[in-house]
Amino acid sequence: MIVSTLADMASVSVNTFILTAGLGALALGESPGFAAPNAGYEFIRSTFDFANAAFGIVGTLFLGTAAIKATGMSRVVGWFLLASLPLGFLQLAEVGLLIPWTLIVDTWVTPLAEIALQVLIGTALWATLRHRQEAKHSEPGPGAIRNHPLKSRVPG
Amino acid sequence: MKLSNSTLLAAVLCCVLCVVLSVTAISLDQYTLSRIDPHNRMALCLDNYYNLAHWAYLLYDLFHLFVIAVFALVLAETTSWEAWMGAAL
Repeated sequence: MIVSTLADMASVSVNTFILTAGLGALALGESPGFAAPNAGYEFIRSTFDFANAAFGIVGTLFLGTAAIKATGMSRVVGWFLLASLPLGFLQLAEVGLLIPWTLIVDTWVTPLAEIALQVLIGTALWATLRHRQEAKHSEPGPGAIRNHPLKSRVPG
Repeated sequence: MKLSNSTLLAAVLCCVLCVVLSVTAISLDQYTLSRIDPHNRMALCLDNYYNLAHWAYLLYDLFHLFVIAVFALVLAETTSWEAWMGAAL
């Protein structure tokens, strides 16, 4: 999922730093620096979007499989990841398309699924943190044995 | 590899930031698309809210990278190679 996220970052970066700047200059009547800023960068963005979706599907599958082997909230994250696999295929199908249903997928479905995933991962990590804290407090430290009342009665 | 508690706490905070950034990006995107036709790329490029939405998505991706890496490392403590594969891809 790291490669997938890097591809997403590259796609958003091309849009934010290059395509938007070029089209903005064109709209203001200034020189964009190249003849057709839209065509070439749209192709680059589509390539990154395809990489994002393709690596995302495989990464989600592996991470979901690993997470369902765990316990507690991590298992819930795993099931959610596996349940969100169809969304990955939908993202793969809509690469380079700008029609009403792809707009809904891009602006509503994908971000909302990401919010749900972040909430679940955050809860799982928080649960792990709490579990560690409880384990740390419950285990007896070396001082507990040293100061144990029975220790002074041991002969020798 | 055992992660420190502070790393886990940082990842939890990054999760919260990711949620905030996602909500911001969705809101700004919807506000922009309610005023400007999505096919009018030139008008979209000149809109500040549209650009802010993309900055929010970019920052979201940055924090998401860290969260996924930490989650995979937590899973890798107990489960097998799938966690590494999933996180890497």
